[in-house]
Amino acid sequence: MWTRPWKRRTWRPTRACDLVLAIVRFYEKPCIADLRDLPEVVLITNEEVLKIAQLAHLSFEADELEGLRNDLNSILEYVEALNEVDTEGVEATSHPVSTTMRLREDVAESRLTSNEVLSNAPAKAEGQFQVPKVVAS
Amino acid sequence: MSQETHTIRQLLDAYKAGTKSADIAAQYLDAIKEDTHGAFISVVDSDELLAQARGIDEARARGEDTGVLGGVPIAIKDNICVKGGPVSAGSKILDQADGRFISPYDATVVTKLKAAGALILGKTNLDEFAMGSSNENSAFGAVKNPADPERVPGGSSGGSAAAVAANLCVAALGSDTGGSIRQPAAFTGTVGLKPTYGRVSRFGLIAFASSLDQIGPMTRTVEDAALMLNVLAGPCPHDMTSMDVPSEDWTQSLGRGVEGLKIGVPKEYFGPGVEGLSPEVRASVQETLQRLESQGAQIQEVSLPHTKYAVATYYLLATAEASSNLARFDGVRYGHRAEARELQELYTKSRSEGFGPEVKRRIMLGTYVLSAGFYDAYYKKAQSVRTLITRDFENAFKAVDVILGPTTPNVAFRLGEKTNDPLQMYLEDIFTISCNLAGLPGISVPGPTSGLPIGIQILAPHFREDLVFQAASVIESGGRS
Amino acid sequence: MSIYDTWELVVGCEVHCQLATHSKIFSAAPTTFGAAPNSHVNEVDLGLPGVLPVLNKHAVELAVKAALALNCTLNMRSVFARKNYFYPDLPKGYQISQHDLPICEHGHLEVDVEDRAVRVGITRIHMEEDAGKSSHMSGAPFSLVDLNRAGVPLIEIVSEPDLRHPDEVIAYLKELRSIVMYLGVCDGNMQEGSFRCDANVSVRRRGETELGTRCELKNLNSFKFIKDAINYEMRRQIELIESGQKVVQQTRLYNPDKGVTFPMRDKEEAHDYRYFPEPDLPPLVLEQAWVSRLKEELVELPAAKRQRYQEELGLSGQDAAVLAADKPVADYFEAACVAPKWAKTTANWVIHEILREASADTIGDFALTPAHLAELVELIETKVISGKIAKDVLGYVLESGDMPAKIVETRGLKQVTDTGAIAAIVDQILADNPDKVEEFRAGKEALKGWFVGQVMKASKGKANPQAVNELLDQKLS
Repeated sequence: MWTRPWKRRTWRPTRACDLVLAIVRFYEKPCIADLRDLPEVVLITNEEVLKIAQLAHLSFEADELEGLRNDLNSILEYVEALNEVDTEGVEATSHPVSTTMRLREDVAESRLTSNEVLSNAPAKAEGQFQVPKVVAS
Repeated sequence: MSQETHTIRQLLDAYKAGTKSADIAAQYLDAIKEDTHGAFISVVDSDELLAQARGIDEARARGEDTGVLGGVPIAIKDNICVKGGPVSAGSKILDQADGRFISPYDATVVTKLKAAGALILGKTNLDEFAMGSSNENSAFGAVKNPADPERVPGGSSGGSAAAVAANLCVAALGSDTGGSIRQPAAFTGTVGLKPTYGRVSRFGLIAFASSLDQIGPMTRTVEDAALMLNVLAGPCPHDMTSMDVPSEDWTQSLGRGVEGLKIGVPKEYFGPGVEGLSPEVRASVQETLQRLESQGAQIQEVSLPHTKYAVATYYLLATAEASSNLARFDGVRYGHRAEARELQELYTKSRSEGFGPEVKRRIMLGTYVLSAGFYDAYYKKAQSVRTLITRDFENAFKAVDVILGPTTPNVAFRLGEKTNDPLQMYLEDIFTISCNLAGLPGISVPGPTSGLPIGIQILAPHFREDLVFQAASVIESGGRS
Repeated sequence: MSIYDTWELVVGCEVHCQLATHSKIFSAAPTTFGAAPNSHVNEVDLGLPGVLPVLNKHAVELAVKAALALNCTLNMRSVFARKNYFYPDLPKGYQISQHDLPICEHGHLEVDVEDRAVRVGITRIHMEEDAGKSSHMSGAPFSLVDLNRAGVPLIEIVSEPDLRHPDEVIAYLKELRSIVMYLGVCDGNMQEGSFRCDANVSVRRRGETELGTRCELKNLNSFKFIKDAINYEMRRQIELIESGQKVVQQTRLYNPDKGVTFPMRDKEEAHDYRYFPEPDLPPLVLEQAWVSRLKEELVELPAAKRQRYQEELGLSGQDAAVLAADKPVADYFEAACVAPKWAKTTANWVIHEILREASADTIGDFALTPAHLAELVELIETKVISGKIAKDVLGYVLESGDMPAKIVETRGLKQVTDTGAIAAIVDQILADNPDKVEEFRAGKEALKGWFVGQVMKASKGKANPQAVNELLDQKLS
């Protein structure tokens, strides 16, 4: 049995690092980047934040939302800097080390039993994962 | 620490001289129990570990081969799967009171370590899903830096770095997406290697950003890093991005000296505008360069003109990939499941309760970056800039063998110091990020310092870890070859 | 007046074919149908943290074969992409598919519909993984998820909207199914979902060039349902437009019991799949030599067979179509047809006798083998036995497994061609039936057949019918 090295430690949330503001402020300083005046442009609305949250299946409290929008807006403003780079005709890199696909021979092998498959399931029934009702079709 | 500090080499020699692996294993288990740094999240069953160690002792007594890491206690960053053990990725979504995810399989690196006879002690703390630079962003609490317990150990592999520095293990595994091995190594005075992308299998590493992630060793010496890479490297049948390139014995690269080695120093790292670079770090780099030069290395300036776009490029690509990689944490097959009567509610509540704020923010950004209408402007653009950043390095490596600079602009900062002023926190990543974008091998090795640890970073072309080790071993020995 | 005089139906198909591999597309788990729930699932199919996909070589080979057979242009470098959406039977939260650069594009297939050739454009074929299966227990507040199907290899064959009539759609789908089964790419089983069709249906007034708003009909698992669903959907759309309403673009399902289509409840609130290149899989690069080898392995396809059967063997178009539709039947026919000059007889026997007893699935193991049939046809064509006796021989073969010649020999079934012997029987029959002879001679020529029948009966079917006819003609004139 794996154990905790310490006793009775409960989960303690740390304050989220403010990624966006950090980067913006960082680049407001004359560090490595150009010193530029970032325009005050609204790139993302509250409505869009909600749409994105819905896509990502995340929810936020009302008081978190404005801060999140500002964060996203700031970073989107910041990454506008990439527009000054001429990438005309430059190939997009999906893989940092160029390589092509190796292929696997078509040999079937069972590595997990169905018990192992279900071993971490939060809810199961009849050898299957159980979820709230999906579609009435 | 009560017990003796070991390197892998010293420990293997001690075993030859009669020291028992079981005794060593027991000492390390005790040390972890006494740990005050919060380096570990979970430890293995001590009876099983001791039984394994005794097995190695018996095999050794019979004169059998016990593996190149036979009886060496190793810690694993808790985003790498070990069969039968919990893996949390530093997140509540995989590990909390109502459910603890137990991996039914071994990561390839773990399989290799086991085959080499290593003793796996347990899993080390990290920033949630490896997203962070201070290890304060873990669901299991912050980690303290053994060099100064008031300070952070760096992140995201802060637990592994602290475990090595505090002698709670002999070596550890970390993962590096934007500097997560090298930055904590720099902060704790240890050695951290990010191998070339594709050198080490990612199978079993919980993905943050698939095209940037790479597993690597965190050790006390450059030689240990080479010994570890000897075990970890090689193509993997479960990872199509692992590369079929020949491995070598990297200990052979050590002690070669730097006579004639061309070392490039990017002018962008030291230009007049770099106010973020602290004087002590600058001084350490300069001293290192002087020593290397006195050993016969040729130091020359190189240019990496797209460096200033690395952070923007990194955050667009890394968050986009992360938003997709973290979609599997949905409360259906494993991990935290919230109370819900309806499916959409189940997803949203499970994820919102399970993920910490920084992870959620990055998922949101990544989802936006990939969403309809924005893909070309953000994701594709960033991929193209990534190409240009890679070309910068290719051009530089036409003139020099390796590139040298600081790993971080500053020494380790105080716990809590930058959680409210994250600006400085993100500054820490600036020298390490480009290496991941270009897929290069990079090491952080302790540089000269009169105070807190300072890391010197060496980068080399793809699959030239030999050059990285060659230069690092000279720096480690204080310039004596 | 037909509905087609004023309206034009426009249909494009998306066909999912399960590739006939042993293991899944990105994992080594078996693909066998009908296993116990979640027993054919490994770490990759389960979407466990840390796992990575590994592409199955045979799946690529089968996709390439389909591409070649459908006259597509292969992309020698293709790219896998992630299609992101949440669904309980989609373990990773994304489906690995191909998006910008599929394995091939720009193909076509010609199909015959009532002797008209219809050319159907193939937009693209891409490779992807199947999802798992959610079952919804009626009454229960929950669903169950089985991941055995998750990761089963598929190709999706996307056609241009070139089909104008339900019969064209069915002809296209039948031809397509026939081809993938010929190639061994797919077992074609529609019940088990190995061959599934979604149809994009729209209508427009004749003469219009703009496409109408389309509805996607999903999960149609038989040719009959496809035809019925399209017919229903066409009328539904026309009625909407004629009553001044608009067709709403949506996904619809077909209810075969009620014969209607109905909108599917949206599985995602928003369709924004956020495609991006799969970082875990490098580009798939096909080597020319490999493709050439696969091209050489391609078997003769149904269209070529149909043509050859007509041109070289002189079969009718209809017979050629029946024989070529399923590869096992064509193989059987070709093995039995040892003498091209007897092809017509062999074809008749396969179509009317063998296929009455066996199906495409069972013909390969049918007790009357091609060798039996070849010998039987030879016995008929060399007039050793009559066609009628041959049918009896077929029965004896099925009973005993003996070769037809041996059966004819031991059972004394040889046709009597000795005109003397036949003449004696003819004379006897005529003598026994003077009234019938009288009637015949008075003009009731239809009695000829009756006389033939009597002679055959008296000879126990062994008399050569031609000889009987000739003798009767002589003696009755």
